Amino acid sequence: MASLSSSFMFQAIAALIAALLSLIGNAIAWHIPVLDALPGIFIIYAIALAGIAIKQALDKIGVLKQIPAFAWIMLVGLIVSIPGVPGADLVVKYTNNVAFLATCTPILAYAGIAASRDLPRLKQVSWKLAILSLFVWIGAFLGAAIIAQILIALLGL
Amino acid sequence: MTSSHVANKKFMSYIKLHIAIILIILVSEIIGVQKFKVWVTTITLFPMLYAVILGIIISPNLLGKVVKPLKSIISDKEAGLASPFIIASLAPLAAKYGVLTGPNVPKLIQYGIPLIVQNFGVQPGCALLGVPIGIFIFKLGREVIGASFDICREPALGVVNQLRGPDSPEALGTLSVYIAGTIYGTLWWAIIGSVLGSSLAKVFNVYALAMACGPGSASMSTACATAMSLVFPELKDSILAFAIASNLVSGVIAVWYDTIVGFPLAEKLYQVLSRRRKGG
Repeated sequence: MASLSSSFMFQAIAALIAALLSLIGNAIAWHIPVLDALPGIFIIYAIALAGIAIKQALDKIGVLKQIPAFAWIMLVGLIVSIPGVPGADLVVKYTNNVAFLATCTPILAYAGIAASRDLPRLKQVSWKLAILSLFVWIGAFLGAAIIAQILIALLGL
Repeated sequence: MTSSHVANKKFMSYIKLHIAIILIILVSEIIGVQKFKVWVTTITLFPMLYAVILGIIISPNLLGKVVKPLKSIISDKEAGLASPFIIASLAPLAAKYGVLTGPNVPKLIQYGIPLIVQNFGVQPGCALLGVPIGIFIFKLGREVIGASFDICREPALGVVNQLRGPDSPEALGTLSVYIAGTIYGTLWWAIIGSVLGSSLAKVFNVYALAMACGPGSASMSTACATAMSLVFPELKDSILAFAIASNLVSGVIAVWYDTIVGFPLAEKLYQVLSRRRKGG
């Protein structure tokens, strides 16, 4: 099972399904016709495939194994859209027709269905820790924001 | 004959899973983005949040228990098949993040120092807020240390098991926050992003707030940044770019920073404050 889900074929097919699923939200919530979004979704899928291929190749050689496919895909997307890189303006122009939020919905639909299996485990979590978690996350946000703000002010950015 | 029968059944489960996924996406996207003005702040809700809630609701452990036909579509088997799709379906989002970030690279470099350094404020922030509340309000024991030394995703689970073992109260604390994060972490980070984002923007630079969305899983980070980007639509792409860049940095430093700073700090704070509780 683990080997199936980490195979190139599985990831390529699942990524294609997710890319096609994001066309639903793109059309309904963002009113971008499917045909207008197709070139953008094609570019996004090509970037995704390139990143997955890099991850697979590095795993085979055995270097940088701790870096997830997510980071490689993002790096490929970043490089092809840096201003000045040949074709970057076209990449940005076409992918603008794929709404960011539309690409998020499929992930969370899978995550919700999968998370439901953790529901019985939530019963074992004391309500005190369940509420404490909310404060811990606020603390994480504030800790980071305060340091960022101090440095931005100090550096005069 | 039997093996093809088994393969067929498995294929049917994949189909059923995706029928449910398509329905969830349809409903979520039809509801769309909703904004609520609450006193001085704004709460924004958007499709990815409804999707995670709908996914949990239709599960065999909730609505499926009551509505039997639902269980014939999504049983434990289909729910189990969903997990590998989570990581794989991140691929288009990662690509979209990439093409959003590319045009913002000059700005990310300009803000490079705060962008990297603010990640070191995450663990102290967790401990400074979490440990006192855990001790004085909830009267908890050593679980507080495990619950409050980080935002408690996978790296923190690894660190606490390494330092204290899986059966320790500290590990119970980390695991509890981890499970809570899986169930309602996305929703809570969206509330943080919209409420703290809209109310703190008078004092804080919006990019500082965007970077602070970095800790947590990609979903939590995305929920926080998305909520914030809906409050400041004119800065949408740069908010998302700062948040995901920060998320990647925090992922890189998590394990060693948890080990040498996060955990020891939370433990020290626990020792000092619980002595005061007993003494007082």
